[in-house]
Amino acid sequence: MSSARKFLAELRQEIESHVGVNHIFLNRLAVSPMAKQDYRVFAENHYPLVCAFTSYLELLLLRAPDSEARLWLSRVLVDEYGEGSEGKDHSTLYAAYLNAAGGDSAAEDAGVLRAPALEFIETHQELVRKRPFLEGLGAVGPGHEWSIPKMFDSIIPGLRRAGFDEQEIGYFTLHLDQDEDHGTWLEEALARYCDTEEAQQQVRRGTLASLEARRRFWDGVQAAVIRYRQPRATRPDGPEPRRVLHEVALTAWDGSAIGRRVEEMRQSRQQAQHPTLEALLQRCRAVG
Amino acid sequence: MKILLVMPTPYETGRLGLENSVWLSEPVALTAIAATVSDRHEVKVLDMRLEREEVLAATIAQWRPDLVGTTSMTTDVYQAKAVLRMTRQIAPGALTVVGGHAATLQPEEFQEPYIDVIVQGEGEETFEQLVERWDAQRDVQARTFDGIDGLRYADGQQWAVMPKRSQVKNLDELPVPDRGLIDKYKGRYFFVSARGMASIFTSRGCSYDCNFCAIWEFYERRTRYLSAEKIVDQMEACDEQFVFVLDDNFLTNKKRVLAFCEEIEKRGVKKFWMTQGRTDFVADNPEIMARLSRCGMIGLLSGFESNDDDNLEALRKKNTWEKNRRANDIMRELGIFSTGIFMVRADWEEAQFDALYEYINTLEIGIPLVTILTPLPGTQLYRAYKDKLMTTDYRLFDLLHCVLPTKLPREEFYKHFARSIDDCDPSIRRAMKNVFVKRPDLARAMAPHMPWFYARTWRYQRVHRDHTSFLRDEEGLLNGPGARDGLTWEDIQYPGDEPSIGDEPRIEARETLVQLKIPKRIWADDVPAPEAKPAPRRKALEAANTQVQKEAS
Repeated sequence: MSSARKFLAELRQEIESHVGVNHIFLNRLAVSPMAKQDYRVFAENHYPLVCAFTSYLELLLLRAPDSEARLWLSRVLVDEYGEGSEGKDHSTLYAAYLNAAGGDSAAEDAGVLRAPALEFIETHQELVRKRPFLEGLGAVGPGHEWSIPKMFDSIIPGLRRAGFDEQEIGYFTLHLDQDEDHGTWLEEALARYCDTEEAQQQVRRGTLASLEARRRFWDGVQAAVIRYRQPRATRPDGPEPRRVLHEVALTAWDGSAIGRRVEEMRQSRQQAQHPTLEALLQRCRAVG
Repeated sequence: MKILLVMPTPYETGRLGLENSVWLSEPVALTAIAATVSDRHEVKVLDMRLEREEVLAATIAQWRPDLVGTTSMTTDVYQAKAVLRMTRQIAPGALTVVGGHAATLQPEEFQEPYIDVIVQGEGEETFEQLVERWDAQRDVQARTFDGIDGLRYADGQQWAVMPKRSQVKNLDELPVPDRGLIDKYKGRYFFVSARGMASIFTSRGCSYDCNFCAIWEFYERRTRYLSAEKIVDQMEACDEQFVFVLDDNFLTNKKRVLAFCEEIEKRGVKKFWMTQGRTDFVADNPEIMARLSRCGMIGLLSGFESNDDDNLEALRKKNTWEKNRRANDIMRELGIFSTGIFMVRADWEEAQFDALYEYINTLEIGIPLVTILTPLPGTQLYRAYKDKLMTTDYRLFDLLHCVLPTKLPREEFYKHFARSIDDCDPSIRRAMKNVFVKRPDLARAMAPHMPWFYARTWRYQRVHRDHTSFLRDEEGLLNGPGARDGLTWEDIQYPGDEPSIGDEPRIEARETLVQLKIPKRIWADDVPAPEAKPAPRRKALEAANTQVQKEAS
C-alpha cells in the first residue's frame, strides 16, 4: 500500500473512533426515546450547519490548486444543490425536517445564530479561508464526508422511533448513501495530494479541527436539549468538587431576581450580537 | 488486560432526580466486582455522576480498554446502553458487558448488537470467570462464554443463555470491594450533609415481598449476611467519618445486629453510620435501637410508604401506620435522623395529598421523600400493570413521574405532588432541631457541610417545587411506543380497590364498630386476572359495598 493510501486508511480509522463522531449525545439519541420536542431543539441548532456547508465548498473551490480537486468539490456541490434529491437542495430537505419537528425554518433563516452553530461555522470558515488548502479540504472532506454516515447512523433510528416518516427524515437517509459516494471520490482525490509528510499533516490537522468543532457542537446541542426540558436545572458537578462558598454563591445568584435578570440580559445581549446565517455567509463570501 | 468499569448517570444531567441532590453513594456494585480481578488486571472505575461527559469517550479512545462494563438500574437503562454503544464505536475490539438490577430483571432490554455479555444476578463470580475467559481468547477475538453460569452472551444472531448461577452462600468469602479504585472521588459522596461518606454493604436481599419492590426477586427472597467481624473490618478500613451501609434491609436479624453492636463496642470504633431498614423492627426493638445509636447509628432510611393501613396491606408491606409512628417516636427519642419514603398514588385527589402531608407533619422526619407509586420492571406491580402504562420510557420510572393515568388532571396532580417540599417543612425543621439537640457530636461533624448541602438542595428544590418541571420532563414522551392509547384512570384498578375474586372476609369487627373494609385481592401475578373488562372503580366499589351491606344486615 502506498504511503498516501496507508495514511488515508489510518485517518479514516481515527475519524471513525473520534469522540466528536461518537459523542455520547448521539448514542443517547440512538437508544433513548426522545420526543419530537427534543428533535426540534436539535434541528434548530443543526439547521444552520446544513445551510452553511455549501459556502465552505464554494470558498475552497476558489482556492483549489488543480482540476482534480475542483472536480471533486464540484461534484459534492452539485449534490448539495439538489442533484440526486429531486432538485431539492440539502437545506430545503433539512427545512422540511425542521418544520416536521415543530420548528419554523423561515424564522430560523431570519433569526440570529445560536452559539453552538455559530462557533462551528466560524471555525470552518476560518479553516477554508485562512488555513492551507489541504487543511480546509481535510475539514470539509474527511472531516465531514467520512464522519457524517456514522453520526447519522446514530440519529436515524431515534428519528424513526420519535414518529417521523421517511420523507421527513429524507435529509438524513440521503446522506447515508450520498456521503459514502462522496467519501469514495474524495479518497481518490486525496490520494493524489497526500504523498508527502507535510501534506498528510495538513489534511489530518484540518480533519481533527473539524471533528473537535463537531464535538463542541454536540456538547452545545445536548445542553440546549437539557435546558429545554429543565430551564432551571441544577448545575452539574465538574471533575473538581466545588467549594462551599462557590455552591452558596451559585445558589444566591440563581435565587436572586437580580441575578436572573442580569443573566438573562447578558444572554440576550450576547445573542443579539450573533449574526444571522445570511449575514455570516455574505460576510464570508465578501472576504473570500 | 485493561478493564474499564463505568457508573452511568441516572439521567441526562439536569433532569429531575434526587440522586446527587440529596445523596450520592459510592458505586459499590462496580468496586465489588472489580475486587475479584484487580490483583491480576489493570482496572479503572469511572463514576460518570462526577465526571465531565467527554471523559468517558476520551478514556475509551486513549486508554483502549479490553473490556468495558457498566451497571444499570431501571432509570439508567438508556444511559448504560449509550455507554456500551459508544464503546463499540470507539473501541470495537473491547468486550462490552452489562450487569445490575435492570440487566438481571429485564435482560431482553439489553440484547443489542453492541452488547456482548449480560451478567444476571450477583456478579462477582460470573465476572471473574468472564474476565479470565476473555483474557484467554481476546487475541483471537472469540466471544463465546459457554460454561460460565449467570450470563447470556451474543452468539452470532442468537443469544446464548447460560444456567442461573447459585448465590454465594457466605458473603464473607467474597473479596472486599476495592475502594482504592475510586480514591479520586474521595470526599464527594454524601448523604444530606454527611459529606465525605464511605459506602459498604453488610447483607444482601430482603425476606419481605412487597409488591412494588424487586429486591426480593433479585435475591430470590433470601437474605445473606457478612459476619460482624468483616463488617467492622470494613468500617475501620474507611478513612471517612461517615459510612452509609447500603443494605436493602439492615434491620432484619436481631442476633446479627447484636453481634455487630458487640464487635463495634469491643473494638471501640467511632464512626457515624446510617442505613436502610424497616420501621417495624425499630418499633418492636427499642433497646436494640438504643444500642445501635450508641454504636454510631445516626440515620435510618425507611419505607413508611403510606398513612393508611389498607394501602400498606395492598402493597404487601406487612407493617402498620401505628408501627411507623412508634418507630418515629423511638428514633426521635434516640436522636436518629429519620428519612422516610412515602408513596402517593395516581388515583389520589387533593384530600389524600393533604392527609399524607398532615400525617408526615405529625411525625418528625428529617427528609420525607414523597415519591409516586410506580410499577417498576421486575416487580409484581409491573406485571399487573404493564399493559396499562402511559409510557415505557425508563427515565420516567424514577418515582417522580406518574407512568399510570392520574385521576386528577396531570397538572393538578403534579401541583399537589410538588408542594410536598413546602407542606412537609414543619416535620423537617423539628427533626433537624431534635437531632442536633440530642446529638451535639453529630451536629459538630455535620455543621461544616450544612451550607454546602443547603445550597445544592435549595437549587434542586427550585426545580422540584415547580410542577411544570414534571410536565416538561414528560412532554412528548407519554403515549409513545409500548403505551396503550386512550387510557384513563378508570381503566386501572388501584391497590385495595379491586372487587374481590376470592372468599376473603368482607367485614372486620373492631370493638363495637363494624368497619367496612374495602374488598381486595393481593396483586400477585399468580392470581388470574378477571377475563371481562373490570367495571370502573366507583361502580365496583358501589357493588361491593351493597353486597357487604346485604350480608351485614
